[in-house]
Amino acid sequence: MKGCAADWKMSEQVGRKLLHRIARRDEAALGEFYDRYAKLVYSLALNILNSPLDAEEVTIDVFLQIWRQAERYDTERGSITAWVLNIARSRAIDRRRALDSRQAVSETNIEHITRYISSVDGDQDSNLQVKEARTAIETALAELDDKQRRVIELAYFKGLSQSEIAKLLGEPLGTVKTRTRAAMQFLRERLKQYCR
Amino acid sequence: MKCDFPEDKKESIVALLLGELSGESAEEIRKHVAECKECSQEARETFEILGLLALSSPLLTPPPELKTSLMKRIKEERYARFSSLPWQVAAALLLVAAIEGYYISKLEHQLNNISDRLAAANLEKQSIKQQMLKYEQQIAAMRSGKLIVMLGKQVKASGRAFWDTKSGNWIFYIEDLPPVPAGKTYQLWFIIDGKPIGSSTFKTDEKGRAELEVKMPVEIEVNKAEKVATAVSLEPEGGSTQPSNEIYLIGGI
Repeated sequence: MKGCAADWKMSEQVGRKLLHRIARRDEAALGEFYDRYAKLVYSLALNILNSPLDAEEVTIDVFLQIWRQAERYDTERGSITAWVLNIARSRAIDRRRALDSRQAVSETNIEHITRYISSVDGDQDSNLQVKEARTAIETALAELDDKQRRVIELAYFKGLSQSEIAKLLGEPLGTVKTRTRAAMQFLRERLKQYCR
Repeated sequence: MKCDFPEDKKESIVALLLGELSGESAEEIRKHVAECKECSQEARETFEILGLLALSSPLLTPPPELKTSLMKRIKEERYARFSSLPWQVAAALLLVAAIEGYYISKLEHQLNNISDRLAAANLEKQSIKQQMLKYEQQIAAMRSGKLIVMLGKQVKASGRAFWDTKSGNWIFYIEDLPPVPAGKTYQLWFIIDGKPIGSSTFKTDEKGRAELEVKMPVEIEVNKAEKVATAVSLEPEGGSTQPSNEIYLIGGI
């Protein structure tokens, strides 16, 4: 696992070089950057939105944002992978909220559902670092107690605020906040080789 | 310094990173995180975890045409700024953009060359540092140790052996030995009370020089140093248990 975390960081250095080139308006670099991260971005967007069409639009939006704001990436704040995926989540959650307010989720068409099913690749061609990191996060999530895992899922994938989660679960807001932080502390401890 | 930010505020760091907070409450957390080492680390690690959480989604491949759409959008966006201008101006700006692109790529190439040279220079610096460290150790050994001057027998070769009596290491500098014939090797000997004890075999460089660092095969007390001598002989490949008659260098303390 330690070796894998090192590979993960090495892969970060490659991403960083690409981002420098993107900031200098190098289209080929954006293409390479897309090849490295598109699958992760699209998978996350689809998980949040449940609509291949919307997930595709979010994916395009994420990479356009990266194209326009590559120079804003701050190494002090976190890794490139976390930066890209946090942009993707934020874009997908915004879209989900907009769709929920228009109740338009049901617009998913048959063509896109078929494409969605055929695109599930079961990790066949994902790189080893991603596979190892996926296993690590899945294992750590499985070790959380059910209540902790639930608040993380509701906040992260459903985009619910802590007040909304408290209301949904019928729990005091303070309990939800404490539980969320405890869950994050556990995950930070379990996955520290990916965090530092 | 221990962080005294209230616990309920610390619990809001994750909410801030998830984009839930805005206005004054967001600003308060942001300001504290920027100033507090402990909370800044918590924020940074939480940010990483939020990125990793994305990996727990089932992994799916986007349709291949999505990349084509993205690259088309980029090109459109790039050249959209020229479309509203008179064609002569647009053409001039496109030309400037092309020239700029050419020079940027040239400068990038030069930058990569400089980076490569810098990496090579750093490697050399590292190697020089190691060499200096080695020399410093050897100088320390010479100051605290014993010296044997080895003289050539039948040949003009010479050698010096330093015995670092603290570490027990011996360093040999040998010069002007004749080239080693095929199937043969030079071998180092320690001679204690007239009895030879075989040590390393070695080859010389094209100028007949060799530098060796060895431990004496047996321990000997410093006050019996006068009983120690060293020698170099020519032996069959692989070395011998007893020296041949071809002794090239010999010396004692």
